[in-house]
Amino acid sequence: MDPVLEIDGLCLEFRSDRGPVKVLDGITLSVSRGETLGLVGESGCGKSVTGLSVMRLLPSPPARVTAGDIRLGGESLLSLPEAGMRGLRGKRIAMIFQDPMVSLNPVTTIGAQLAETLAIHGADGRLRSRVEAALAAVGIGDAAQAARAYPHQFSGGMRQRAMIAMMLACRPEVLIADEPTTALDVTVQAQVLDLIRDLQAEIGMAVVLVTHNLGVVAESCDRVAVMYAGCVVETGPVAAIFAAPQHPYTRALLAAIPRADADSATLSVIEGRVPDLVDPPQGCRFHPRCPRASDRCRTEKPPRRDLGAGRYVVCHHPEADA
Amino acid sequence: MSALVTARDLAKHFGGGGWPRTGPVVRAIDGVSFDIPRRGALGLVGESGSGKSTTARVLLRLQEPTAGRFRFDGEDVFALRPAALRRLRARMQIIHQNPMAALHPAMSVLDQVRRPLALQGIGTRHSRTEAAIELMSQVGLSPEQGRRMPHQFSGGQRQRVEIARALITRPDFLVLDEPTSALDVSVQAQILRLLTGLRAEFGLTFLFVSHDLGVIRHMCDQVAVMYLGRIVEIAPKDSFFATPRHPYAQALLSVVPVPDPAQRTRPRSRLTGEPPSPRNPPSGCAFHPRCPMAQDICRREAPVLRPLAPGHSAACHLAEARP
Repeated sequence: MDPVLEIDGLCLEFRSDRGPVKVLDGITLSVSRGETLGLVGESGCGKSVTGLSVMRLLPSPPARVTAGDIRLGGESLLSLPEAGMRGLRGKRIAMIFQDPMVSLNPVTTIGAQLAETLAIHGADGRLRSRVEAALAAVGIGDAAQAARAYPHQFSGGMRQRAMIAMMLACRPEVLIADEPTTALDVTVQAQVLDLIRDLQAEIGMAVVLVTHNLGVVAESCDRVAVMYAGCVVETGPVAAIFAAPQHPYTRALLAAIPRADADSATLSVIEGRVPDLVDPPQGCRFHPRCPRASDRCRTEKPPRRDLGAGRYVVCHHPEADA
Repeated sequence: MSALVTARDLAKHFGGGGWPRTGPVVRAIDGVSFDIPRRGALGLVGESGSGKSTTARVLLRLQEPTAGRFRFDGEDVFALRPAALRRLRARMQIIHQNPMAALHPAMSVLDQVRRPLALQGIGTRHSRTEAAIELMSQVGLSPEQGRRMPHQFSGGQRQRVEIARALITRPDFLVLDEPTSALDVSVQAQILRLLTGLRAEFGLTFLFVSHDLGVIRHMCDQVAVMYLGRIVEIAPKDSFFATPRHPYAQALLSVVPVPDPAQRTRPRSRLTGEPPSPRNPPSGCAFHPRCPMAQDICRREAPVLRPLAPGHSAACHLAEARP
């Protein structure tokens, strides 16, 4: 299927006192209509920055794209003037964040905020009924009353539902969900993930789910891209990657999770810590922590290898070679 | 085996504020009882607001309990006078979720690790420093790092500092309040492994508070599930994970995301709604508004914990009726 959103070799730096921080190093990803791509990795790996750069929400300076492109429906987003980008945001690509309390205006009612979104994107006349329909669509019971409520009167789960209602107002082609359930309790997390999935099936949007939680990826994504220190190290269908991870980092990460569904004898530990991206390691950025690192890994950047069936791994010594 | 920790009917109520003191009372925890044998590890699990952190804090009298009893190695902790309590604190320590808030921002790490010894009047200045350096190396920090300030450390290293500071007085009992919830998976694995090693080495008894059932399963041998301020199920780990009895515990276990796509189709009991406010708890069983099998009795009468299998109790009117 044709991808809706393509990121092609994206490199991005942040200016800092200590020199440029190479935050993204050649990110290549794509997501198709109706598909959910999980973007997973630990703090500082660049997963949120990738989402924000698609929305062009990073201030420049300090952020600067040094190479690569981002395309929506074949059209380059990076060469678009700001006015054109503003027309796309919310309408064709939307984003929701971890903490809805920060995204919502605390002194305006939920209904007024939704109405504003609808009006900006050209809804006509009967805004009140549109607002109530939008709230009902995300499973908020008494929509008329909820529209008159302020964000602080909502629970965390309700706030995230309200954010989703706003995002959905224009039926976007792509939704970027940045840790949408991280602040929620697990029973509420399940509800919100179900909601996103149902709405996706209804309007056929592509979803990029940015998360640190591999359990959430396994439960709700079709494909996954694993990120480490600004690079996508492995990407492919979820079932195949969880069954047989090819990159040593993916493998170690999966074995480090204490599981609720089985006894885990010992957790695998990745020695060391993530590198400083002002001065990232030469060659493969994972080599200082990799049990299989060779001389080649220390000097030569690994190529993106096509393993077939939509799987790619960026490693000199993937599991399959071992 | 006799229990090191025996908690009975712990309660902590907040509010009743204003004047006259007629404001609403929030029953943060009520009727919480459990035993932890020496060298045992009890996991306390629940969602936000279930009272698990309050239970931990009340136990150590970081917040004064409203009611209840806590016997620690035979001593009645809630009856102790301040001086005696302070002496006993050397034997009961706590690790917090956010070490950046728990550590002093302007004191070197070595000073912070050895300070509890000075406060307890243990050893000489020299021996305290020696002990701190030794313990720091046991948790994976070098002596040179002792001169640094907390902000110069990563989250995982800060948690190591807190662990060293908690263990410096050689406690028997360690309360861990979400010790790895702020950490990345790979760092969490490092800290959990460290804690497992230290538990065996120092013969520690754990009360491990977490919202993560995976962490609880990995670290504990007994599990207690809290909902709206009460323990609704308590059981040995194996019995709990094999057959959870309370419908809330069953739902909780079934919705925990599992890193295995093959299990995506497993049956799940989806809960509707969110946990109610302790300010205005439901009548009868606090879980009944969300319970898929609630009946009339659940709306009328609050269930009490009943034994259903060896060491395994649940507070549910209908628990026996199911396999």
